[in-house]
Amino acid sequence: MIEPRIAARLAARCYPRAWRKRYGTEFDALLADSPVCWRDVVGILGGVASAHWSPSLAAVVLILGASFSWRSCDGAAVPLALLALNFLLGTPAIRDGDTLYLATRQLSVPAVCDAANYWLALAVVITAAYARWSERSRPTRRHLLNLAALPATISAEAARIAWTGYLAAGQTGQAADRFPLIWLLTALLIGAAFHQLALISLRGWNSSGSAPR
Amino acid sequence: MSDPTLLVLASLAEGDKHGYAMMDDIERFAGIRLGPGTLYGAITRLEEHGWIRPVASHDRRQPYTLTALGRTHLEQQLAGLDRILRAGQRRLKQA
Repeated sequence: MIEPRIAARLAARCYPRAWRKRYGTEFDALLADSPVCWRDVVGILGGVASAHWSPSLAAVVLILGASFSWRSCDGAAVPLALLALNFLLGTPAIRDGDTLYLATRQLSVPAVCDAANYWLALAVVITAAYARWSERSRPTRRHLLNLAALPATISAEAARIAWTGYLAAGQTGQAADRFPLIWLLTALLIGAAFHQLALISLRGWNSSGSAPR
Repeated sequence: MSDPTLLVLASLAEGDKHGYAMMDDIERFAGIRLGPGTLYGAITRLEEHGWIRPVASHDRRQPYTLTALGRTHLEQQLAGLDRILRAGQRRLKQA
């Protein structure tokens, strides 16, 4: 019969790589120090699931649930690509004192990144729902919905890029109130590029009437 | 008062502690045993919010300290709990 401590160590190996890199050594030290029971193993597995979970992953699950056919998946291809990019980039490293004053409210770095992820997740769900609905809708309404669903995606990605720029500025010793304008412009330009790509993609899909299976 | 993040913040309000010391301290003052998974879930969230931060250590056991932001958050949470406690006690007396 396997010992709870060994099971706990095996379960701890299932945490995401980034989490293991940051907390792995100290977590293993804690497991070595403390008495471990089967309830703790279950708790660790819960922690593993929680560490893998994110708004981006939630959106992927939602979109898979919402996409009953290949057609709706195709309609959400661009936001999904952005979502994958967002997921790969992950949350920037946290340093104490990383804050941004936004509309007089002090927000921490992860709070801003979470907000961007939620926007993106929302955009994916809206686009998936649109894609599903538009299969049955009149063609004249499609472009309007394209324009309604996509800005959320673009703004989320632009916010992420702008925030990365803010962090880079912080690393070079620049204060938050001297946020370089160049990063904001870059974010807007890349956001606009994503917008164009998304429109081209959806226009092609709309003109064909349906996506190839 | 069984929110693990609040328990960790309350434990660190006394001084810097590593994971096992936090588990031990929380069990003593709150009578709740946090498992390693729950404890590190709370530590991860607290660090993400900038409410705690690791302090330099030569040991494998990593101590954490409360940040100024974390102290403010803890004070706000405790003030909220205090209001609920007082209201509950007052209403029990009136009943």
